Amino acid sequence: MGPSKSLSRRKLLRGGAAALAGGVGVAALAACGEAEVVEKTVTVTVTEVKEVVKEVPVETVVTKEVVKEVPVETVVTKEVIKEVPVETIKEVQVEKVVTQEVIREVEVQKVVERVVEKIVEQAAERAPGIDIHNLDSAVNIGLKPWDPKVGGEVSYMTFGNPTNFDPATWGGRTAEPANMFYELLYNYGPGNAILPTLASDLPEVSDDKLSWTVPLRNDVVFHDETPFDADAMIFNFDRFLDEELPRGHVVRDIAGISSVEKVNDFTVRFHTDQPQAFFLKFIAHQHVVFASPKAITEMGAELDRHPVGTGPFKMLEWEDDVKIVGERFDHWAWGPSYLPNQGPAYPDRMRSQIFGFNMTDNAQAFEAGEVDILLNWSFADYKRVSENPKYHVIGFAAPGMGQYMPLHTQLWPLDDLAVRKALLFGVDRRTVTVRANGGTAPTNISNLLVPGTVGRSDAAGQLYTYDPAKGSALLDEAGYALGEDGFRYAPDGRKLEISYPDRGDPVVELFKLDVERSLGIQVNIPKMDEATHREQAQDGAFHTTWIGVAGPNGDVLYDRFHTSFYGRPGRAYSFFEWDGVPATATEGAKIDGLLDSARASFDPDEQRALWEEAELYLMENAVAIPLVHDYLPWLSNPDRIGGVLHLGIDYLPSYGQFYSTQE
Amino acid sequence: MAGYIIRRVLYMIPVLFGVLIVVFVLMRLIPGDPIEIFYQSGEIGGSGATSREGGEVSRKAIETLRESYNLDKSPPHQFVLYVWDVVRGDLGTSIAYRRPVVDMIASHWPATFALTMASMAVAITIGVGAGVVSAIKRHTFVDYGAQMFAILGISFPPFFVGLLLILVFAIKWQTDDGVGMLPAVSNGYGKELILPALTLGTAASAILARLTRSSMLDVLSRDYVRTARSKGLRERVVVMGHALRNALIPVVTVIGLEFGGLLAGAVIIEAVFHRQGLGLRLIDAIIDRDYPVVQGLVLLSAVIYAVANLLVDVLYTYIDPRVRLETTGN
Repeated sequence: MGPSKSLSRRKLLRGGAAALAGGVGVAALAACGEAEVVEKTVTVTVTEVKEVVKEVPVETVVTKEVVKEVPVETVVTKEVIKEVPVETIKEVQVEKVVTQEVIREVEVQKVVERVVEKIVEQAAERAPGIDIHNLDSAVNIGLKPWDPKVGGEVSYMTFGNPTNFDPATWGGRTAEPANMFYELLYNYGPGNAILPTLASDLPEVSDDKLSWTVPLRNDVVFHDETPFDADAMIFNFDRFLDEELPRGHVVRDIAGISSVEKVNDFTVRFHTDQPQAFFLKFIAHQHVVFASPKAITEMGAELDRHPVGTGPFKMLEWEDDVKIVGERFDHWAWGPSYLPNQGPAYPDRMRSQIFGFNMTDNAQAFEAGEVDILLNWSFADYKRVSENPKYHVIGFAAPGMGQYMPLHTQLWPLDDLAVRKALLFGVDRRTVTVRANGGTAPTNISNLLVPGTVGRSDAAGQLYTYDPAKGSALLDEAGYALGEDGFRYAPDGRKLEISYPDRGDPVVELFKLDVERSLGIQVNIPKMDEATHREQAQDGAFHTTWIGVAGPNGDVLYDRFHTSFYGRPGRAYSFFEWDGVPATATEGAKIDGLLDSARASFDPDEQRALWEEAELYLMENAVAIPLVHDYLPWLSNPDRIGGVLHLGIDYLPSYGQFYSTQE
Repeated sequence: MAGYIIRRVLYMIPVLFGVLIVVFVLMRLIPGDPIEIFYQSGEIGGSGATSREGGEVSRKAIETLRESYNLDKSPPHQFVLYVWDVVRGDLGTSIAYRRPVVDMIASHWPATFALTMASMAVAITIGVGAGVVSAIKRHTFVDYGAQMFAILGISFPPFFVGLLLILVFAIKWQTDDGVGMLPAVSNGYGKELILPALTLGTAASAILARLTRSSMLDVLSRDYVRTARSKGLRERVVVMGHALRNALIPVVTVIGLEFGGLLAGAVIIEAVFHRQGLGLRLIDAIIDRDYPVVQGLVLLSAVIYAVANLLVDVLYTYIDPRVRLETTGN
């Protein structure tokens, strides 16, 4: 009985559920059908009228029927009347929407213009909260009076693991942390002047300009307490000049030096193949530093991990990709005269914290207190951090060429001066520049050489002012007509297009939009990594890119525009006055003459005039689009450290000038 | 057993040789000359910034460096020399760092291994624990909560979870000294491991939780579990003693595979936390086109993956006595 009862209950439930479902379904159908019934009612009425008309043979009946039809027609008329206003309303709405969109677009454009104007104004005023200095400045990093305390630890960021600490073979960014342990003969000081460090004075140049005699300090010792003297220097230079040794970055700084000889215990003489007015420029670059000959001989490959130099700190610990820790070298007493501390250093330990290139992570590590001084070039991050009153944000602006876009003068269509000039007139360099640096960078949109660089030409800065109409007119005159697709075409039918590889530059897309809209020149922006770009760019594959180079004077033009440099690794892009032969100067190139003459000159006034002429000549030929005088932002935590931050033109921190304020 | 293991080890040789060929060829197909990159790298100022350059690198210097890494020879010749070095246990010398690759592995391996093991511990603890509880408390809020956690864990990319954890534990939550409660940069083996291990382990735990749950549900419905219960055993004994061990058999397989996955994930997570492991080095080496380092690290990964799979197979025999590894390799 139980099971059957249960079965009947199930049946009952199923029946009830089915009934319920059926009821719901019927109700739903009914609900759905109601609206249709109303509509059909109207239709049926009309049908009835038609049927009646067909069937009526008697006139009276027809009359009656006609009387009946009136209200029906009225109804129909009403329906028509009802539909008309609905359509009318729709039309009006469409018109209104279109109008609103136009208005909105105009408003958006105005807002964009206002935002851009505001950004430009801010840029002109320089970003609030950021303490901007030139690279030669010694900045009070703790924002408090000089009050050094001995002891504790100061930490400074560095990017990437150093490769090794043998000055003859290192690569990468090793020079930055190595500045703790090693020193140069000369450094860039205030006013970007080259001043002695391990040398005791500036060098004397021979009459034939082929020899440079350098006096050395006689009070310097290495970390192993052996003396730094002429023998030690020559021992190091023998390695730097050894062509059989797989050498590192130092080979870039000793270019042109053929030999070194000892004059006396504390004087050496350098010999060069050709007169070099810029001997000091190279010798004061990042990598010409000296290790103890005793350490080199006895330690061998161990020197890679345990540098023995003359710097303010001795190697204590190197944990790969984590940190390099130096301990104070108590004998150090030959600090630069233009900085407050000549020695010894104040902290017991100097920690060079190794970071990667993820700026957001690095900013977070700084905020978490893991490092006292940080370089961070992400504008989003440093603007966020700069809002915190706890931190000191310092911007260091470099002299030289700033950021600019070289134009490949040998590659169609940029081999046509009219197209290059059109770009210089037609590109909204101010907006592009400001956008490039988050709206906070000082602008430099007129010259290749930024303000403060020796040899900057005022006349060059007057050549091109933003005038897209003039740019378009130049293209019209040159025969590049606008096509139906909005792009310009040469008389032979080729579309005007240029390539600008996208390596993550912030200006790529804005530049593309601007050039295509203003001038009708198509800009192709293939995406690629740096190594790929460099390899193809040195073959002259692209029309333009975005680069910069720092330097105290107009000699920075040499590496980029002297024809003997085109096609060399990392030295491509312009190809102005190039004859197509790599590594040889183009015969008769005017730019080579100007730059060579400036390099050969020992007269500062003559040099200045030659560089000014060179810059004017380059800009008259529209070889590049100048963009921005950039700066890099450093972050520090004044609650934790004090002292001065001096970088000099090579961004190498003077580690002996910091102190900890922590107990 | 010994015969089986030897056979499997021998099988690895052609696999590893194939890996070597692929990596060797791929690295040389990527544009960029390692020697030129070496000399061009190192601008101190920063990415995109104007920085001062030194003089020109002489052709002789480039040639000398190229010769010292056999890059002046044809690619097939380079490959033969490289394989011969590998056979002798020499993975070459880093172009950028001038250090033997074996030394670099030795100095960076502990960081990656520690992260992988810590992540594995997190994954097993959370994943198996959540899976078991979820199966026992089936169709309760605990079950739904655990499943939701699993779905979220699978859905969120680890680098995003890592950034969130940094934001909360290193930036928002700080001591009075302005130092984060947990370090954002992972440079050690203590509390520095917590955030990256949680980041990496959480994603893996989500997969394990789902697998453990379904496996446990299957086992709990078996006759022998019913028998155990009918004998009057306590539920904890039934679950832990009878059900879990059998339910873990498929889970162990996935754990073995996850080990390889965690190693691969460590590459990204090490970059997020700037941890000094092999992953960080591998990324740098690819950017620098440091052929010997990339080849060495990829080879190492392949070896680890193969060995992990072998260990899982061997582990089966201990978890499930019915499984016997045959010397035929089946």
